[in-house]
Amino acid sequence: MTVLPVLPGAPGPSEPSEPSAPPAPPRSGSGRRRPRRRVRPVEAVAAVVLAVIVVAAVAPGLLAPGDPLAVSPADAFGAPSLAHPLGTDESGRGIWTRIVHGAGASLTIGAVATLIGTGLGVLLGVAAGFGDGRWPGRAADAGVSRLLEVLFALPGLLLALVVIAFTGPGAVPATLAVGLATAPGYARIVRTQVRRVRRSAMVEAAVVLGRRPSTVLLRHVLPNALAPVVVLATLGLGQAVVWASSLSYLGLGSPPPAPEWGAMLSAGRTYVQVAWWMTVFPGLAVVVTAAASTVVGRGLARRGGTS
Amino acid sequence: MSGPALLEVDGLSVAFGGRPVVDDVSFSVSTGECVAIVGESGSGKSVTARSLLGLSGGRVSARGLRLGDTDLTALGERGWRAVRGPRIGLVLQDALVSLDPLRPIGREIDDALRLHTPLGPRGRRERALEALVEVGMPEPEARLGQRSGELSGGLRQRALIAAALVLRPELVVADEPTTALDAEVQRLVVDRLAALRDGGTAVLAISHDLGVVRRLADRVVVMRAGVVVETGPTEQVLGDPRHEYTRLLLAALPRGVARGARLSPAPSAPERSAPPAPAATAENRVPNDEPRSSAVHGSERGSSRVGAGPAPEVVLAASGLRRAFPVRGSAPRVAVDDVSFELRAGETLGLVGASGSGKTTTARLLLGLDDPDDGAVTLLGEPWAPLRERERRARRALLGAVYQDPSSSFDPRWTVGQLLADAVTSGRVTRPGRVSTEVEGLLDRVGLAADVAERRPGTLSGGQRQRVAVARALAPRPRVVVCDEPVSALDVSVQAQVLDLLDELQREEGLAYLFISHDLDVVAHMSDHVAVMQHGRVVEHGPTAPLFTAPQHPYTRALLAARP
Repeated sequence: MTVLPVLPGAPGPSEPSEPSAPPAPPRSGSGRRRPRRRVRPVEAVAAVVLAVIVVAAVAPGLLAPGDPLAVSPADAFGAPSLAHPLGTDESGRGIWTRIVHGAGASLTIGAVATLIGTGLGVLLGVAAGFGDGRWPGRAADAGVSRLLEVLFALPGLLLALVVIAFTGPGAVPATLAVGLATAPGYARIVRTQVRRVRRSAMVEAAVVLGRRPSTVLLRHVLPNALAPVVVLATLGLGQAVVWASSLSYLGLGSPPPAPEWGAMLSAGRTYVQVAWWMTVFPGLAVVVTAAASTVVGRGLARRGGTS
Repeated sequence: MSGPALLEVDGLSVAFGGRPVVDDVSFSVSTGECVAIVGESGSGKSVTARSLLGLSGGRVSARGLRLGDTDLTALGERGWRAVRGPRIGLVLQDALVSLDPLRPIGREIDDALRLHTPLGPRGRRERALEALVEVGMPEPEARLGQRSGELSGGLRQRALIAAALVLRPELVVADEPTTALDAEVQRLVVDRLAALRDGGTAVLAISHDLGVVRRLADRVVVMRAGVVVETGPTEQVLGDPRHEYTRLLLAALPRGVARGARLSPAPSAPERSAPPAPAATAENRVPNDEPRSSAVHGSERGSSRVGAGPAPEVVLAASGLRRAFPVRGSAPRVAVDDVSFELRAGETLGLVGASGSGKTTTARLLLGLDDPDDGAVTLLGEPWAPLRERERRARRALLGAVYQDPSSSFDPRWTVGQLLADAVTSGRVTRPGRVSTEVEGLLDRVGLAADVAERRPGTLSGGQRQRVAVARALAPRPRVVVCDEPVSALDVSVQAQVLDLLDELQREEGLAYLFISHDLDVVAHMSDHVAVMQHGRVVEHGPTAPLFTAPQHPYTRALLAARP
């Protein structure tokens, strides 16, 4: 935010005891207390891109009417052209069509994995953070925290590979693996947030009013602790898409004929000398999705007050 | 008494975003003189002070703003840096946030010397030590190497003053230098500033504490809503105020006002059912130098207590409470040690003591937020603590609490209506719609309009928030309310309103209060009995009037002597 104070080095205008807001420039008139946070151009672009990707996931036929699996050997290794804007692969299938139809799979895996990750993270984080320092809570905190430390010792993707090693490859195991691999990060954030709210005067006031622990948890702790997690989940969505694609690239995700971005990258690897479009465009799709959701997530984080 | 004007402010105005916050303010400060600016939050007094250092952050304009021969309005950033520190020293309110927690205080002081003096490391160290000795810092050698987190509030404030004084500025601006400090520490800080003034430095003090102002200032500037409403010598302004607002501020002071007498003007709302309390007029206000005696000046209820009538029912009793906290690597810290007292219906027990004396731990033990290691609390004759929370929960409604900082005790997502609906229905309903009559009734009882229900506590003023907190505490119809520093974050005029409200509600409902405060005047005004705590123990306990007129324990005497 670039709100220039008239004089430099300025603390807030109000009395020190009041929350001080930086003085807004005169033109913004009414918004003195809460400076308006405008949408930056890059955020607008990212939001539009994300919207297009979601449309591709929900209704791929709108953007690419063709069949992503229809083989046409005559058109194999076609460079980008009018008929196939992003070229064709070794079986003559349009890269554009396959990328658009693959958006659903990539996004679903990313979203479901993020849901699994945040869900598990919330469960573990609440179990660890909600105790009041006495017996059951303390043991839960110690147990969960040590478990998280062990999991943190392994890089996330490696953790996902370990899970796949148990389940075998496939789209569902890959989703599960990415979800499990991202859970420790969420769990630790939820634990900190839950502890913060748990120790706040607000929860103390609720206890004094005679509220049960379950009421306190559902009504005060969870809603106040989860706001930053929701924001972080949008940030994590991009990462989950990348990880899911990575697993597919390694042949551990969706099996080959399916139009999955990571699998397409992997297939194009062999022909990168003759058909660069087979690797570049699926790769770009992954990068653009991850970047767009990260930028949007950051924007939400700035507004939500989470740094 | 004072030399020629050192600082001259003529027609100073400061605006933020086109909105004037300080409007046409003029005053002057001479060498060896202390001028105090008083007023409530938002009156523009801090902004005025900061403008003198080029730190206001707003658009500053003035007909004249001179320090000695320097025209402050003409200064650029470089010019300001030559003024801040060497010529004008600033002492800020909150020493905890004003000192860098990662740097030893010796380094903070050293910075100023390195920038503005030609002294070598040796000389700088000597000057820093000198400055610490000057502000009465115990063991100054050791303090140089300590960080702000290792110092108590009083020591931090002194370190901050030392840092402001080390360059021997001609003018010291002290912005609420004593707020949030204990009476004893407050006295030390005021003495330092007074000594400074007597040494020929000009002092501009910003304060809402009229007691401090009375002791320190030669002249007073009263501000309200960015405008100076009254200015003159201290005795005249505080002794014979001309402006209505100054009179209001003075009437709001609890010192010497009889128990039960109003501190704020009576509310105009016609539907108010409370029996009108006698106002704090000249007749029932006791002369300032002499603590009030409720036997002579007490309200109706106050005197009935002194009379022979049967004592009211004991609603809460604490006996032999003890709570110690383990300290890594040393003996446990005993926060509360063998504390016993009784709370009776319709009566207030005041709990006073320095910070860290165990007042808040005692309150937490009573509220069942923490369990005593030893001793017990009974509520209406039945055991209350130690007890399992599950067994206690059903009777939670009997015991309410009002905290110092109400905003942190509210769920920030909830509106006032939701907060109160939750409290009225024991948590069954969190939509105010279905219980709107009850919610409106509560708001009316605490003197708030019904439309406050739709607002969030964050958008309310400090006084309104505290009223909402009182309303929430009353919603379950408690018999006992624990008030932990309920007014110490409030301006004196708002404090008066909240105290009046608490008093009125006590009379209507026969509530028993445990009233914790570090402000002895407030406690004297609110309490029937007072317990004095020191190092976790109650060192003196008795009816308010005798305790204040003839304190037995040396610590009580020291506390009373330290009052500004």
